[in-house]
Amino acid sequence: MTISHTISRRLLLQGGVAGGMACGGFGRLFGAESADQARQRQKHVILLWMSGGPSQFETWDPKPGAPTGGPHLTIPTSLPGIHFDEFMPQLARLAERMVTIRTMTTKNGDHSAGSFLAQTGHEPSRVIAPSPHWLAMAAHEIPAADPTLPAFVNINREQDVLTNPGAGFLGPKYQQLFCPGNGAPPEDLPSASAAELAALQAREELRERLSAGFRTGRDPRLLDAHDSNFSRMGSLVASSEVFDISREPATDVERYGRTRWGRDCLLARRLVERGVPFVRVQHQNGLAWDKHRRAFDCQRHITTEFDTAAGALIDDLIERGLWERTLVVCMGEFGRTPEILGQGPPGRNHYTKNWALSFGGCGVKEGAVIGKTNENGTEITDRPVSIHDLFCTFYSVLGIDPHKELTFEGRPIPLVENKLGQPIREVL
Amino acid sequence: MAEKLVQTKKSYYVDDGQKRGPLTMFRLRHHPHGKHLFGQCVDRRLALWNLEAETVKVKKGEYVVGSLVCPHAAGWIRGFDVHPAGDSIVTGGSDRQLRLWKWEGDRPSEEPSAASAAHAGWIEAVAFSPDGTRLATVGADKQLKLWDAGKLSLVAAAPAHIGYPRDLAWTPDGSRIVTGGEDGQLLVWNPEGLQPVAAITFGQVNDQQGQNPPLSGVYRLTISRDGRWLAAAGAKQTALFELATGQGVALVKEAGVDVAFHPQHDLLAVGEGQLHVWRYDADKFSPQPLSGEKEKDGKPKPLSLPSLSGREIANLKRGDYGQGIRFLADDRRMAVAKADGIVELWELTG
Repeated sequence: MTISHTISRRLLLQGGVAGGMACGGFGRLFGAESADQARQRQKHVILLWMSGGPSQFETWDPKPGAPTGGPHLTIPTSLPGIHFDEFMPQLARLAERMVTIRTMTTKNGDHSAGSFLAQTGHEPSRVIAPSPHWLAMAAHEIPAADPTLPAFVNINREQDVLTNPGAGFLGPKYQQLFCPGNGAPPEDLPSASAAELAALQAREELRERLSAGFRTGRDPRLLDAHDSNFSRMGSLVASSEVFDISREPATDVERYGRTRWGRDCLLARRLVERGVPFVRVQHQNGLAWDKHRRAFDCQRHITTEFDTAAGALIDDLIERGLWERTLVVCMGEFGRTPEILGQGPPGRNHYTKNWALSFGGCGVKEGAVIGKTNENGTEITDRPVSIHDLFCTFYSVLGIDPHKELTFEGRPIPLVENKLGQPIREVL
Repeated sequence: MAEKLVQTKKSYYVDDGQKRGPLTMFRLRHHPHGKHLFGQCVDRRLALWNLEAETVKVKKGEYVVGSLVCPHAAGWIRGFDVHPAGDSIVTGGSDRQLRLWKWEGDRPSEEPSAASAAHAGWIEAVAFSPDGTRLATVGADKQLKLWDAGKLSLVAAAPAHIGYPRDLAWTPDGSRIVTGGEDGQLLVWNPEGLQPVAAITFGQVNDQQGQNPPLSGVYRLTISRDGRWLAAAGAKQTALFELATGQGVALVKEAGVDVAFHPQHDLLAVGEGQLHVWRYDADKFSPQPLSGEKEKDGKPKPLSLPSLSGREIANLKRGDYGQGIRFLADDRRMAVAKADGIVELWELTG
């Protein structure tokens, strides 16, 4: 009889066995207090990914009345003199808790390459190994307080490996766990019944026995990384209630908006609340914010939907004491042209010269508004921020040295490309 | 009897020199005295052309160059109308402002003669009543409002539509107002007290999700000169209804977004990139009840109606995203606006 068979059914149902197996020992079962303390210190990130490139004019850097301003008006925020798009009332109210950057500047206006850069800190063509998503990197650098839970969850589908980079050279251990969206749990996840857990355990033991011979003479690091996915299955099944938003009150569902996006943000909150460190939530499918055509009318819908759920999420994180250790980032891969030309007007094309985003929580300086653009939003007039500056800031906020080097196949690879950039001092 | 359309030599264009893309057009109206044409475009002002002015050479080519009038402070004008007697112009914008401008012979006044913060959201459409005494507006606050047309004082208001309303029209006798919106509904109103009279389901509703969602529900609507037929244009098709009964008459498939009845003849212009002009045969119309059936998700099933009876007399290519059709006061010419900000004139000939 293996040691796992001596554990009680109650513990099985609590996920203790599977989690213990996942982290390679049972010491954690007897260290609940320290585990709780570790959970209290756990830093989290929720990346609200606005795929396609949200318009700075219709979000955080509006220019009402300018020829380039478009039909959207603005509303005052909780910061004196600062206005956001009129369809962002929640984020405008929460502006004093967030950092707004109006002068992001990059050079890659291609969706795939731009998305890769904006989620890894590396150009896709300049790496000797596929760069990991920065949240996979964060999962690598910050050991999860609760290893029974997945370290990095992605909610909703994405185009391809460039628009949603995976674990890259970090390997499968840091690959994001995929939830299909609309608040749904990972696909084909069995129920957390004792029978399912026991069956899973039996299969795992059989697999380990059969695999033992295979390990001889092979690189144990690669095999361990591969095995980690199997060993995590038990803990995943045991913790399946973490993904069950049907347990959330109907009032919360209403506050987040009865939309796919609302349910996904609610799931993100639930995951973080229960200890998942890093969550990426993709807003709508494909390049939803890529508004080349008829931008301004349908932008009313997408912005309202985004704002409703993002606002509810931030409110909840603040109210539940998670704000001080959870970084919430709202961004896409670039911005949109001042010219209202589009690929079938009226719309805006891709623009990298200056664009906008917002983040908050995890101890960043609240209410900071970084950078200025000119009257028509065509040029930066003060304080450009590079994508490398942004990643240096994010890593610094998480307590990670942004210029640290990892080693892949004997080569040094810095977290941020070529050790470029500096943290944005005004927000730290 | 007009049987074909021929493009006239003059085209119309407006530009203020700002670097911001073409002044894509959305709606056209003419002044009843016949000499002037207005265009609603991607700007806080209206475009105005003297139809009889000479063309001049500009960077884009040779055009009658217009001016920009009736300014709002910000946003874009979303709906406008010219008073039936030609005394004034009313504009409604995404800035929530309704502004009344006096017509001063060859252009509107520099300053509005009256203004009102009319809606708690973008003003989507405005229209004078046929007798010119009332003004109807719909806004993104989902309200239909009725105004005294001379003073812009509010007469009545009523909640209308679940989604954003997009257009409205009066019947020629002024006894009904029809509104249409993103919820796929056409609502018929009695202007006396703004009482709803009937609802007609057009459908074609979507959730505006994803990169390029098609327009949802009704985008433009128009009523025939006898007040009998209502045409509603959505993203991909146009439907005709008998207004008095709400029954369906015909579908024009693959032609939506923009629609206009001729004020004197049985002509209907429909379509966006391709503009189809039909001589319809109302004698062959056979109104039929709408099924009212719904899909599993609760959205209305697509309309099942016969094709439009009649004959297509013209099929004009005006390019993608072209909007704005107006049959002019002389009943001979049709103005057609395009996405590049150019307006063409087409002449109906025998």
